[in-house]
Amino acid sequence: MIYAFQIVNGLGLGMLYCILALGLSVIFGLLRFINFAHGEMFALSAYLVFVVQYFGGSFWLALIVVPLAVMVLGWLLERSLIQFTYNRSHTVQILVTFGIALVIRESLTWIFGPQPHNVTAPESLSGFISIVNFTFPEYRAFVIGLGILTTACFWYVLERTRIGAIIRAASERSEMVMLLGYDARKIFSGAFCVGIALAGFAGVMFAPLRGVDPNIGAEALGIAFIAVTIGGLGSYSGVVVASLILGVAQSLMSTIWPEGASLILYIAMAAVILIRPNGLFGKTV
Amino acid sequence: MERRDFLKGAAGAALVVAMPELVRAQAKKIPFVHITPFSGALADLGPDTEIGCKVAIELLRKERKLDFDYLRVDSESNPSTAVRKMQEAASSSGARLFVGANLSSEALALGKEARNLGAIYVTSAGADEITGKDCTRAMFRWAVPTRGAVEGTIKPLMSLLPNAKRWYAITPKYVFGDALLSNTERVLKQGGAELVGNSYHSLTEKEFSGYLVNAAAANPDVLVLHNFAAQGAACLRQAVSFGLKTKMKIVMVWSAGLDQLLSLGPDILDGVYVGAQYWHTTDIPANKAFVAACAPFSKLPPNNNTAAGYAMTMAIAAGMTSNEVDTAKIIENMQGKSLEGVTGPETIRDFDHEITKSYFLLKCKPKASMTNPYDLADILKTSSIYPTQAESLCKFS
Amino acid sequence: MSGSALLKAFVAAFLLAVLPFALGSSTLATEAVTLALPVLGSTLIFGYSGLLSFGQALFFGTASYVAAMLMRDAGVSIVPAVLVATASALVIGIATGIVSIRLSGIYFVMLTMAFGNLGFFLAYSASELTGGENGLLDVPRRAGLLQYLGVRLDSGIVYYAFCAAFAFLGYLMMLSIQNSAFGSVLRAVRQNERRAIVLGYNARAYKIAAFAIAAAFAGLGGALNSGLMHFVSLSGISLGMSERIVIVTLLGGGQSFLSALFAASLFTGLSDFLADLWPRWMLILGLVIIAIAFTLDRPTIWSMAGLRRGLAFVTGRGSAAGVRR
Repeated sequence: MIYAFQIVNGLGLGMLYCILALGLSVIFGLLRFINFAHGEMFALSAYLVFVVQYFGGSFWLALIVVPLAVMVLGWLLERSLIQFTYNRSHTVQILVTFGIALVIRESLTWIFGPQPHNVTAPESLSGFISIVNFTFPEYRAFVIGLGILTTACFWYVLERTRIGAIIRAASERSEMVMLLGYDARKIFSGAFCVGIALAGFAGVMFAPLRGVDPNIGAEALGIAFIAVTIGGLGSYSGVVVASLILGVAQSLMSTIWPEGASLILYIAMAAVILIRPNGLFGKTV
Repeated sequence: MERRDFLKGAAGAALVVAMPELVRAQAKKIPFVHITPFSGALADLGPDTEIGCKVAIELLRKERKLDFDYLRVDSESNPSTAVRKMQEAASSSGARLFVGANLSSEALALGKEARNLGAIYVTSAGADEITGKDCTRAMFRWAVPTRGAVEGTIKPLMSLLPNAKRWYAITPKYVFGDALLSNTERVLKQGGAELVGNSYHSLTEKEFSGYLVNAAAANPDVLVLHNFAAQGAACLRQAVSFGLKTKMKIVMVWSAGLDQLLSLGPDILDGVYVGAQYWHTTDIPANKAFVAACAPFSKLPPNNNTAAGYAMTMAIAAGMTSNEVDTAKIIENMQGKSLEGVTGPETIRDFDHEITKSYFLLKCKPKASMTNPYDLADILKTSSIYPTQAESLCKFS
Repeated sequence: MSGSALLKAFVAAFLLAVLPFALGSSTLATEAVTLALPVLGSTLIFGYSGLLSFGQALFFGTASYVAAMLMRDAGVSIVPAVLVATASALVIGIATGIVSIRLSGIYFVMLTMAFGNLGFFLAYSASELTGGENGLLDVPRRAGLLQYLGVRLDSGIVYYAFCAAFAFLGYLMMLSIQNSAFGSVLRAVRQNERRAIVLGYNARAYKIAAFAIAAAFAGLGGALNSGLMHFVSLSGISLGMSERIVIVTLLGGGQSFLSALFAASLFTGLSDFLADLWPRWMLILGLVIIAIAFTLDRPTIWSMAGLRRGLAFVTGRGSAAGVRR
C-alpha cells in the first residue's frame, strides 16, 4: 500500500521536475545550446517570490509577475551575450553560461545573504487532502495540476499550431525556414525566452516547497540535467517521461534504499548515456 | 641657530619620531584569527560569529586591557583552504590564537594543524571526534556534542510526553547523523520507548516527501528529525505541509538556532520541539549583558554562531594573564577554568578540552503568543550532559 | 631538445623556482603545483582531443585517498605511495576512458560529470574507509629513503621543492608529447578523425591514451596534495574540484602547457588574495570566465597573453594571510 502511495507521490514530484527540465530541453532542442545558467534562473525567480512576499504581495501576484520578469532578463542576456555563442563550440556555450550562473548566484548571495529565507504557500492552499490514511498537501496537488496543464498546453502548441510547426521546422532546418521568409533570429530568441520563462515558472512553484537559499540553483540544474539526459536532449516527450521516472524512482527509493537515491540516479544517467546516448526518445545532436 | 640648540632640536625631533615606536611597543596588539566560512556551502556561519568575536574583543579591551588584533580569514567551507590559511596566518602575522565556527571536516583538520603549529584553536563544530578519537592538545570545543544534544532533548521530552511510546527518526546518512541516531536509540530504550523505524537519507537530499510518507505509515507518536541546517529546515517545512503535526509531535534534535527558526516562521514552527546550543532569551546576567552588547552590531538578537564567537574568544582569554602569547602556558591555564557563559556556567575540561555548556529544549509558540518577532520559542529544559573521563575516547598524543 | 623547447623548459623552471616567493608562502605555492598537475593533464585532452572532462576530481580524489591510506595505515613511504596512487588513477582513467571516449561534446561532459559524482558518493558512503564527511586525518609525510639524503619533508619549502620537481618532470613529459609522434597523431585525430582512421591510426586508442595520461596527472596532483594537507577530505573528489580544474584549464587557454602552469599559479594566488578581500569574489571570476570564453577559439593570441600575464604576476607581490578589519 505504501508503494502505491510512493508511486503517486513520485508522479507528482516528477511533474514538478518536468517543468524545470522542459525549459532546458526547449533551449537545447531548438538552439542546440546548453544552458548551464538554467538552475540559477530557477533560483532567481524563487528569490523574487520572496521579494514580492516581503513587500506584501501575494503568491498569485508573484506567479504572474516573476516568470515574466525572469523572461525579460533572459531576453536581455540573449541579446547581449548569448546570441554571439550560437555558432561557437559547445565548450564556449558551457563556459559562458557557467560564468553567468556564477555571477547570478554570487549576486543573490550578496543581496540576500547566505542564510536561507522562507517563502509561504498561499493561504487558500495551505491545507491538506486526506486519502485513506495518507495526507497530501493541497499546494503540492495544485502544483501538479498546474504542471500537467502547462505540459499539455506546451505539447498542444508545439504539435497542433502553426507557430509550433515553425518552431519544430526551425530546429531541424533553420536555413530552410529563413528561405521561407521567417526570421530565424526572432524564433531562436523567442525560444530562449520561453525556456527561461519555464525555469522561472518552476522556480516560483518550488519556492514554497523548499524555501530559498544560495544552493537551490545548483541542485535544480543537477535535476534538470539528469532528466534531460535520460529523456533525450531536444525531445519533449522524452523529458516528460524521464522526469516522471525520476520522481517515482526518488520516491520509491526512500522506502527501498534511501541513501542510494542519488547514487542510483547517477548510475542511471551514466547507463543511459552509454547505452542510448540520445536518451530514451532523443534525436541526434 | 647655535649648535647646542640644533643638537637639542635634533634630539627632540628624534624622540618625537621614535615616540610612536615606543608607544606601540608598550601596547602591542595580539594577533587573533577568526577562521570560519564566509563563502561556499556554509557561508552563513561567518558574519554572525564575527559579531560575537568583536563583542568579546571589545569587552576584553575595556575590562582586562587585553588587546586582540582581529583578523578575519575565510575558510571557504573547504578544509584544505582552511588548513593552508591557518598555516599562512601563523607564518605571516605570527598568529597563534585561532577560533572558528567550522564544518566538522574543517575543524578536525584545523585541530591537527594547530597542534603542528603550536597554536590554540577553539571551535564550535559538532562532530564527536573533535573531543573524541581525533582530539589534540591544541584544540578546544564549545558546543554540546551528540550525546548531550540527544539526552537534552529526547529524555526530557519522554517525561513531558509519558504516553509517547512509538518514535520514528529521519536521519542523514553521515557519520554525524549516525552518532545522533545511536544516542537516540539508546535513550529511548532506557526510557522504555521504542524507535519503530528510521529513514536514512543522503547528504544532498532536499525532497523529503518519500521519507515523510514512510514516517506517517509507521504511525509514531513522535517524529525525530536528526537532520540539520538547510536539510532540517526543508524536512520540517515539508513535514508540516503534509499535515504530520496533526498526527504526531515533532522534535528537531540539532537545530541551527534563531536564524534557522526565523527562516521557517511561527506558522510552521508552532508546537514543534527544538534542541538548541543557544537561545537569546536565557535569563542569566551574562547572557543579558551579551545580548545588549550585540545590539549595536545587528538588529537581530544573537544566534548560535554569535554566541559561539563570543564564548570561544572568552575561553582563550580565560587562559591569558597578560598580553604574552605563550600557547603552552595558555592551554595549561585554560584547563580547569570556569566561566560565566552565555548559556550558563562553563568549565574547560582538561582531559578532552570540552568547554562544557548547556543545551536547551525549546518549544515553539504560535504567532499570537509572540511578544516580538524573535520570540519564537520558550525554553522548556536546560541540561549539560557530557561523556565522563572514563567514557571519553580522547587521548592527547 | 629544440631551442624553443629548451627556452620553455627554462621559463617553467624559473616560474617554479620563484613561485613560493611570488605567492608569499610555500604552502600556497605547493597548492598551486598540486592544481597545476591536473590542469596540465586537462590541457592535453582539451587541446589535443577537444575533450572537456568535468570529472577529473574522480582521479585527483581517488589518488589522494589511496596515497593517504598507504602512508598512514600501511607505513609506505611517500615516493612509492605517490607512484602507486598515480597508477591507481591511471587504471581508473583507462577504464572510464574506454567507456567515455565513444562520445563527444555535451555527452562526454555529462558522462564525465556523472562518473565524478559517482566517485563522490562512493567516497562519502564508504565512511569506514574514507572517513566519510570527516575525511582521513593524520596523514604523515614519510620520507623513507629520502631522509638519508638529508631531505626533511616536514619543512614547507622542502615539500614544495619535492612537489615542484614532480611538476617540472610532468611539464617536460608534456613538452615531449607535444613534439613527439604521439602528439602529432593526437593533433591529426583532432583535426580530422576520419582521415586519421583512413590513414591507419586507431583514433580511439590514442584518445583513450591521452585521457589516461590526464587521469594520471590528476592523480599525481591528488597524491601530493594529501601529503601537503596531512589529510584528505571529500572536497578533493567533489564536483567543485572538477569545476575548478576546468576553469583553470580554460584560463590557461587549453593549448599551451606553459600557460597552464601560469594559470594555475595565478588562479591560486589571486583567489587566495581576493577571497579575504571580498567573500563574493567569485562574481568577478564569473565575469572573467565569460570574457575568456569568447577568446577561446583563438589560441595563439591567448597563450602569448597568458605568458605575459603570468610573468607580470610573478614579479609582483603575493597575498596576505588575513585582512585587518
